[in-house]
Amino acid sequence: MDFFGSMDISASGLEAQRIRMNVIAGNLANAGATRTEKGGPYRRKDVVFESSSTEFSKALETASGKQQGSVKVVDIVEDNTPFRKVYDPGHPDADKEGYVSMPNVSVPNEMVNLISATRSYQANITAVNAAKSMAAKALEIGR
Amino acid sequence: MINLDKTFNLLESAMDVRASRHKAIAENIANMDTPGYKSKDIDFAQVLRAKVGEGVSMAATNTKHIQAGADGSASLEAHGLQSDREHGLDGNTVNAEGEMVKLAENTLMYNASAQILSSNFRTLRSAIQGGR
Repeated sequence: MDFFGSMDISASGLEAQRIRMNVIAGNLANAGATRTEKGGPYRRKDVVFESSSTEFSKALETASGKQQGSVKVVDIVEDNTPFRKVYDPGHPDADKEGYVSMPNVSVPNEMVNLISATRSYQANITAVNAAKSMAAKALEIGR
Repeated sequence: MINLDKTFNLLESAMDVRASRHKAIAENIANMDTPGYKSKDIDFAQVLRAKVGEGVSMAATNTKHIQAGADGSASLEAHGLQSDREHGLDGNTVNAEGEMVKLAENTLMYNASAQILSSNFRTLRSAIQGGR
């Protein structure tokens, strides 16, 4: 009986989805930010998920005694699609023609991703609860 | 006398296999959004047979069921079934609804095995105490 291993895998799913939700929240919060530290408008960010069953990480995880088959966020990348051009001559960041470069964040898209992340998070919670109920049932044997 | 030893052994093995199957399902759920991830499953009957020997026989009712082998190994990798259907463009083959159904079924069957094991222990205790 190895329910802790299963729970570790589910926990990795929860963590990955939480990071994804944080990134989505950041995108939504900055949907109108025309200035960033690097200069220029905010660029949409996205997470990269990886299953630890790939050849290299498999060897690494086995060596470090970690659970195989768990998921993790290996990178947070920037979306390189062009910025939205909005005509707003009064804006302090408008160019000579009066156009402002707005972040390439699409609010409906982010909302859909947010719902997807929430559902995946809930599915992982269900898996944890199932493991818990099975372990509790096993402890009742012989009572 | 009823051969309780055999039943205990069978139920114990069944619970072990259910626990490994839960691990495979949890893995699929955790990797629901991982591009290129191929979903896994464990053929319960096949792995159980490998664990307890030929004392138990189960029919292959699905073409995906692996035929009984003489290896006797019961590892997740050796008997993990991989689905070949893709549900999205990213190469991920996890069917979210299917996994949740499998999770519920597996949990119920595990709990049922635990309950039967429990009641067998009560039977044994009743025999020890002479029905008192």
